Amino acid sequence: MRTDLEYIDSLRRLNTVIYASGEKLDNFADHPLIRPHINAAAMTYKMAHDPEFEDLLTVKSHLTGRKINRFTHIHQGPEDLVKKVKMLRAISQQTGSCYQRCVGFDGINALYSTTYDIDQQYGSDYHRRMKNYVEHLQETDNMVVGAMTDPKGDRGLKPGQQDDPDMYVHVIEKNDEGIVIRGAKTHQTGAVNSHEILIMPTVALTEEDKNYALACAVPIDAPGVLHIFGRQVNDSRKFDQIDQGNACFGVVGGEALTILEDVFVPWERVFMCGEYDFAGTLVERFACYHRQNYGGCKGGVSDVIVGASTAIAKMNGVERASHIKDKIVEMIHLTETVYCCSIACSSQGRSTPSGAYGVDPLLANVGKLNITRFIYEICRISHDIAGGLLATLPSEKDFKHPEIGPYMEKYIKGVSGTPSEERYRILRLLENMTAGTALVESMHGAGSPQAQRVMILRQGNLAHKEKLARKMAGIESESD
Amino acid sequence: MTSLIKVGLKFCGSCNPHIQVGQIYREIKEKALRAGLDLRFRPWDEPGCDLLLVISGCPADCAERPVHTIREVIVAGETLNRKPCSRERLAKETLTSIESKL
Ligand SMILES: Cc1cc2nc3c(=O)[nH]c(=O)nc-3n(C[C@H](O)[C@H](O)[C@H](O)COP(=O)(O)OP(=O)(O)OC[C@H]3O[C@@H](n4cnc5c(N)ncnc54)[C@H](O)[C@@H]3O)c2cc1C
Repeated sequence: MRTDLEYIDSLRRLNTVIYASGEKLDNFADHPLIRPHINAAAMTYKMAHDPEFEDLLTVKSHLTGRKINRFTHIHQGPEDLVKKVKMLRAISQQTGSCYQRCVGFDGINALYSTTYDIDQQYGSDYHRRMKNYVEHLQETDNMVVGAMTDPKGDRGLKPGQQDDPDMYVHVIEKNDEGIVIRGAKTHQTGAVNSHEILIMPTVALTEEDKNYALACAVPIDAPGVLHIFGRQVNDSRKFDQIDQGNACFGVVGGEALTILEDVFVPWERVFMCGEYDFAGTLVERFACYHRQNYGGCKGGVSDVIVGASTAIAKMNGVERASHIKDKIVEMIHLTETVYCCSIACSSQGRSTPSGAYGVDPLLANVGKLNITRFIYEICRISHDIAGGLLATLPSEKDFKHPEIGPYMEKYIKGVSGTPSEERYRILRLLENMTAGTALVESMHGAGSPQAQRVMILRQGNLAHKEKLARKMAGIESESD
Repeated sequence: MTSLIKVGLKFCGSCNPHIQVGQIYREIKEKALRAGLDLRFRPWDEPGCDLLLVISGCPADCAERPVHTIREVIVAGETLNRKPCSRERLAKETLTSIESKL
């Protein structure tokens, strides 16, 4: 298993092509825009070596019997799924932001069982390749981007109906050695500081779109791959210290638009190529694993928000007010509710023919749908408690200014005994964690709310529920 | 001074802890030192431990460990060996429990 420092060092040896704010980055590992996200990802390596956390962060490989970082593991039972959620919450409590490795983790798990199923139907060789790939990840402890979302162009049209065929990643050439692919993946969490990209289709497909039925892995710095780093609200704050709020770990995952311009992939790293009838299965399995996560990771992030809200209430001298206590209770209630969903869908996990375990799809989707509301509500309450300074606080340069700094000291103060700078820092932390980019992740990460609603309706077994009602109303008898 | 005692140490991972497991551990270590008890805390899976000390953040106590291979002392939230134990007494009582199992 890699250490955090070995992980950061390994990034320096890559030739990853990254553009940010119109500039090609030379030393991205130390660039202020990127470094906080690297620090967050590094936590997944660091905590695996910490006796206090290793029970969650490590596991025995079912392939080699060796101790591995859990982010490279294939779930072998409901206990593994539960531990995953607990691990995510524990890491979020340390970073207060996204540490990015779950997407690739979910990708390998979804592909592990799907490649098995494809082979059963078509006699193909994908599952062996996938197992080798997983073993390679366990050996190297590489970080993998889970690349599912395509640009999609006109959402009303299928991939092959688009004006531009590159709106979805597709195969443009096949030869004895492998395939050549083209297109792009959007919103790629942790792409710039990963080692590899795991490409998957983003929608269910039909036969006419079989060129888009594609899953494969490519090195992050393969020829033809380039990343354009996303802007975030307040990202120029990354060049400051206190004004960043969470100076070490940033906010959200540091997403990128990843361009795949005629990228060669050897057959050994191709896990689906043309089996359009399995694209939907793969997307669904990935989505369920990914939706499982949110009560864990956002649960941990919310723990920090609850803590910051409690701290600012004390600094403002309102912590004993009954409505403030009530609001803190509400935040905890919402946090634990999202956590419950993630634990529940994990403990109800089920086996797949490959031997790997998947989550309960209904409960996972309910959990993620809650996230699209409850995290907004938690953040809304934190804004209520914190007061308007959250939006109007002057800059840290003013705070440190020899002439106007003393005014800030005097007027930013809350209760006596608490230094103004502490209040300033907590406000900045809350601002960073609850406003802007962080919120959007809760809405669209792992799919927009409608995607969950569609799954909920499909899994909800309405016929059974209707039957219950008809029986109780005396319309149907026991035997009907 | 008693002879050297090797204690395997296992934490749960602290996803939603009721107690700060690291802090409890430090308190136990400190109290043992003051009591002249020569406890050597080792990784839980190291062979040759005399006793396993599990410190879990809450009573769910989900830390994985070898089943019944050696004597165990289990701190899990505000419980000690499955019985309630207040936070203030936890480190002291844990030490007593360790001594009684040797
Ligand atoms: C912070 C963040 C991190 C992310 N990380 C990753 C990542 O690591 N890897 C990855 O692959 N993806 C990632 N995503 C992408 C995420 O899965 C998508 O944002 C999500 O699936 C929505 O897709 P979209 O952004 O293209 O929005 P759209 O699909 O354009 O959705 C916008 C709205 O249009 C609706 N809509 C879309 N299509 C239709 C249709 N055909 N009919 C009717 N309504 C429609 C949606 O329901 C929604 O209300 C991330 C997103 C965010 C915000």
